Amino acid sequence: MPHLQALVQRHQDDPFTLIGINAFDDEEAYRGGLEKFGVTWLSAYQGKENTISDGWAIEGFPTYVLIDAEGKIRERGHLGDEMDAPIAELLAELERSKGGGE
Amino acid sequence: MRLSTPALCAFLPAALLLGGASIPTSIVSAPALVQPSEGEYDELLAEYEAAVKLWEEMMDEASDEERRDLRDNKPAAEFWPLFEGLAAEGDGRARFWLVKKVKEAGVSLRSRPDVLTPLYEALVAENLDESWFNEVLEQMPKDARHLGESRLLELLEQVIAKADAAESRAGALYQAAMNLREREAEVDRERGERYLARIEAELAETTWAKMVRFLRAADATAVGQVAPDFVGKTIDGFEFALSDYRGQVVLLDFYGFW
Repeated sequence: MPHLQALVQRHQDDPFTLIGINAFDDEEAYRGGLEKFGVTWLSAYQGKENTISDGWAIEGFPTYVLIDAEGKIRERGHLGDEMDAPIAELLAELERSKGGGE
Repeated sequence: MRLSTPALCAFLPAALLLGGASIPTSIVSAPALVQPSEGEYDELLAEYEAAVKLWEEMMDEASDEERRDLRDNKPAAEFWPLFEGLAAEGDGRARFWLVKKVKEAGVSLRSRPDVLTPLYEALVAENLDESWFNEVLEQMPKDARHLGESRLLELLEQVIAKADAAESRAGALYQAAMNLREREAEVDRERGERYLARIEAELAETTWAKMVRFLRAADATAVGQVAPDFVGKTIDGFEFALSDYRGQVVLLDFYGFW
């Protein structure tokens, strides 16, 4: 979680969004967790029904999925810091494409 | 009358001490007298499991040298002829025990095709509607290299054609589809696709249908695919869609606090 906070912090001025999708916590544990771990970013609460994660073939937690600005899935993995470099690359890519379009 | 397990227990450690490094096979060995009877599989399995437990305890206490000998004398090898006997009498679960223990019992790689093929043939011919046949279907692809790809598919096709049990039919369709979708030829891959569709259409209540749903989700959300949209809700009721963030780089984090 500290890693995710740093990630959000680092990209606060970039076109980047972190979306948490919680699975398997009951409401009390979930609210407690948000506070304890300082989750300030967007986080979906699924309750008992894991309707979102079921559609994404999640085999283990955490699972990270990186999606580019066109909506294409670029990476899947289980280690948060594995995503740092690809995120930076995609943001640089996006920056270049915007620059090129002007 | 069989040698009772407690007697076996008391005897073993002493024998290990006296015999030094070499463990006479008759000791780790299963009871010698077997009378065919009802429930015999369960009895034999219980004895086998007791022998495994004992073997594990001996391993824990054994010296390095003794361990080598113990490793060469796994209970599965000793019990093999007994389960083989039951299998020959037509006991399906004994057949499947043999299938599962082929490696542990020390059947050589070279002999495995000859050992496994008739066992699977008998299982498919006579046991395909048993409640435990799902386990056979889970195991079968793992033995593909011993059975050969075409024999594996033939066996699965027989189950698809002959099984009355929905689970067995769905399992065979699923495993056949898994095999076919990895093949080069377009016709094979299309056939695999039809098998999956059959599970979804006709056998949606089976446990295998869940596997198909998982597979579909994995295909749809694999690297390179366009992310399927979803609607999420925060605990405070804010609703959002993934598509709201199109134009941004998005990291989804599937997580739990537990």
